[in-house]
Amino acid sequence: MNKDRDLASSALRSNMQRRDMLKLMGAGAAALSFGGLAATRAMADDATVAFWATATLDIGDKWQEFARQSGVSPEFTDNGNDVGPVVARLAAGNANDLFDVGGFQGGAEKELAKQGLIAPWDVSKIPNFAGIWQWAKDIPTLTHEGKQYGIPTVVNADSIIYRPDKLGKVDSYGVIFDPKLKGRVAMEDAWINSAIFTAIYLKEAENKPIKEPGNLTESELGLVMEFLIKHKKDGQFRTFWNGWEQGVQLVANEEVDAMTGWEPIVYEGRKRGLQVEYAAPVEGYEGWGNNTVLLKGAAERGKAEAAHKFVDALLGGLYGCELGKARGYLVPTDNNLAYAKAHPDEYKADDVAKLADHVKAKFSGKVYWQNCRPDNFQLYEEWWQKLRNA
Amino acid sequence: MIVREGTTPRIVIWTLTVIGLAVIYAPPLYLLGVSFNPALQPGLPHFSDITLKWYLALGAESALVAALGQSIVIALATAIIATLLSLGAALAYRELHRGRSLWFLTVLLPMFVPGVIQGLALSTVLSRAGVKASALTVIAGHLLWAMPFAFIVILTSFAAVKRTYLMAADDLGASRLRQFLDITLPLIRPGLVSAFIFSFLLSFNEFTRAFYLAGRQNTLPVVLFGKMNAGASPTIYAMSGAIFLVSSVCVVVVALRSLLMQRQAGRSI
Repeated sequence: MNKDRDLASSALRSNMQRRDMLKLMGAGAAALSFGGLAATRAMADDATVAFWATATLDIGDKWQEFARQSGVSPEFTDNGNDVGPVVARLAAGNANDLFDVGGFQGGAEKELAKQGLIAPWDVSKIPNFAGIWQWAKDIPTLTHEGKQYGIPTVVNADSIIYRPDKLGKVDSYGVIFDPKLKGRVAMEDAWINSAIFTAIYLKEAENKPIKEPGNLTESELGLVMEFLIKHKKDGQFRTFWNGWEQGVQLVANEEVDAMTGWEPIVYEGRKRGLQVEYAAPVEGYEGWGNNTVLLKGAAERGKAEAAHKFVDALLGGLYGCELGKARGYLVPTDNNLAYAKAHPDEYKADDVAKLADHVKAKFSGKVYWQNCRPDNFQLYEEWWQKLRNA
Repeated sequence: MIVREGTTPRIVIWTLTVIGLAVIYAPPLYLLGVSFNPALQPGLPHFSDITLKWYLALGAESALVAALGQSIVIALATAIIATLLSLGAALAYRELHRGRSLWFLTVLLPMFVPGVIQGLALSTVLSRAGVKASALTVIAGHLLWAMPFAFIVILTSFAAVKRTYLMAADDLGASRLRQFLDITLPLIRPGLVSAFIFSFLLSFNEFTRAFYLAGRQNTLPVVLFGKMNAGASPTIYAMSGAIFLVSSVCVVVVALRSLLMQRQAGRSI
């Protein structure tokens, strides 16, 4: 990834197609020809892949090493992580004109495939696909009509962040709904996580009739959301946190004793000198995958081969080692450990193995998969708005 | 008869002013303070702990720096084009007799369209027309956002341009262009400067339209938003602090220049 380019030229780098623009506007040729030339140059270079993904999947300057080893040069662009705008930009906007490969929260594949916005992978062209751990290959949202639309490039499982000095050992989502902790707990302001956590709790701890916490039926969703609304009205939650920084702040400022949230917040809290733990709930974890998809535009532009090489390299070891070191995220393959052993100056094999064992241990028990596009997606949105207004 | 102001109202006014300024400036000043804290945990540092390490680390944040460059270029282009177009729109408004209100509302209308709809709609139209996203498409979106504000500001400044000035110039044989250059332009210059600054800031801080219209290089607000959601390092406070400091220096320079000009004008009377 060439990040040393001149700022001004970077800013004016444009993929505009000169002829189209002239057709449209009939003017501005001098200004736009610069962009047209840049587009032509980019199109000619089929060894680059435009990777549009969640910011946490960026390995920064390490992409250069990645490119040297894989022969594919990724250009990373942050997609903001929120699946709603991402899908909108794919369906109605310009994303398919710009990007080749996407890294999205798991679950969007089915909808994107139905709309013809992404193309299936040919796993025979991804040799490292065979090395993906089976339970990661089995994530239910990766396939549609028998075709492989998502590659599980990053996986993990979420639960509860808590303060052991205040609560002792926590091993149940019940702590979040415990009236004794009224005003001292929090959940995330996102149904994608909070609805599933609540559904897992109701299903496993209170034996409520819930079949699949990641894909609730209309009546199951009503049950879950009414439960949450009641607790909100009772003052149970200090807040519904939004975004990494607020999540960290709640922990760091000791405003809450327990909250549902992402494991990296625990690491960040510890870095900031706090005593925080991540629970292993008896009800099970919320598994999530940040899956890699092939955008339809890439196939149309003749970038499919490079995209396959790119996703194969994501599973090759370097990416997994780097992502694990930087974020504590896991690429679900043994290649990380093999790479770390082959590059002891860069990565500690023990750390890589420890991370793999840690995540594997989570998946050895009950796991319910996160799904950012459940069947009743619109209903989730409506209920969540009701919760916010409650 | 001159009514003397009592001491109490003055104290009340000054107290309210100070409270108001404190409320407005406390958050950015707090963030500025945080940016000098060596710890990962945000908070005001002890005086002995003050450090520039996050500012020094900014150079290595290539994504932030590239986004800043992108934002500055886009904001400058937006400000220049918005000011020029708004000036034209304001001149047209002045010349119009019938349909003046319609013209006014037409120019203002984009201001009332939600950013997400405007961004996505414009992205769709441009995409259908075969125009690929780039800095230029972001500028197009930001123009829709900034132009109504620039138009209002410039229109307000036209209050200083009396019809009689132009009529007198006309009587003396000045062409329309000469009237514009020698009378109108100097009188509306503060409005043009304000419109430029407004447009620059509106573009520089705009997130929604930029998200939908950006090419592969995101703007600064989009990158900052992503970083805030995905594990921010304190360098984002340093970036915010640097922008705040540069803005403050610009304001101080403009204020000093204005003061200097007032003094010179006072001496020359």
